Amino acid sequence: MKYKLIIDKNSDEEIIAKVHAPSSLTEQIENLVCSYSGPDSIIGYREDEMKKLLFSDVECITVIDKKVVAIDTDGKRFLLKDRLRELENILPSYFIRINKSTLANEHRILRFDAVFSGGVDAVFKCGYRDYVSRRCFSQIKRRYERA
Amino acid sequence: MKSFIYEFIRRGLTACGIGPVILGIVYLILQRTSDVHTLTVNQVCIGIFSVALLAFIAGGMNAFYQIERLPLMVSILIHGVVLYISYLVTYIVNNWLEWGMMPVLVFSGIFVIGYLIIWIIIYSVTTRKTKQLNKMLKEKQKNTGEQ
Repeated sequence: MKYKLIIDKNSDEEIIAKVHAPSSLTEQIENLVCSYSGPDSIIGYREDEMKKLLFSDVECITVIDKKVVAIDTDGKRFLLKDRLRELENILPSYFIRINKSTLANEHRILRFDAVFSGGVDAVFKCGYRDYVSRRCFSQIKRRYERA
Repeated sequence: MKSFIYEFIRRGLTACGIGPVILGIVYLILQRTSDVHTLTVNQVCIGIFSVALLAFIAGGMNAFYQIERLPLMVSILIHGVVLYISYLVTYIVNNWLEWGMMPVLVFSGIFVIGYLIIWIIIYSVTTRKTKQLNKMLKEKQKNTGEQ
């Protein structure tokens, strides 16, 4: 199978796949293209709603019941089709990992809370809270010390 | 779970060799501080096996700190309970602790006090670190013009 990339700033952007029959590859390409919404946003799904979520309006992206979910500034949860690891590569640098299942928008963190169990929680402006793992806590601290 | 079991066994096996060395130290202490001057084969064997098992459990239990989701206090609590039971059983099996209400209560009291001290220290350290992190977060948000 051949792959051709044409960069032309004057044309409308489109991706055409010419194949003999639909396959898992075409399905993957379709999902990828349909879920791509531009360099500063992602597409989130909620019941029958499909919404373009600006990265700046996302409080955090986390895994709930094995599904990748984005929580917006109103605390609404949107299902995402991408994996957390893939998202980590495209998200802006103000998204920080607070545990192995959550990427947090540091602009939307209200505070960090020490909890009696000895752990630390990140509390978001929408009210959502999630734990900060010990490893990530040290990484965040180092990041702020460097800044 | 699989990785936890693997880590438990790996750490346990690494530590269990130290058990008989500690047993030797315990016997020397008993010789100097009490009337224990001779040991039967049975006593030595029970001592070696029980202390090797204790060291295996104590070493393996450190794997609990690898579980990211568990806050430090919870890890310490589980670790503490398992260690308490293991130590108590080992002491009683080897006749290092008299079986009775008073000796067990004294042993338990010392154990609980030790753990409470650790608990208080960790909670204070976590609270202090969290305050520092909140300060750095606020500064960062202020510098980036966050609302």
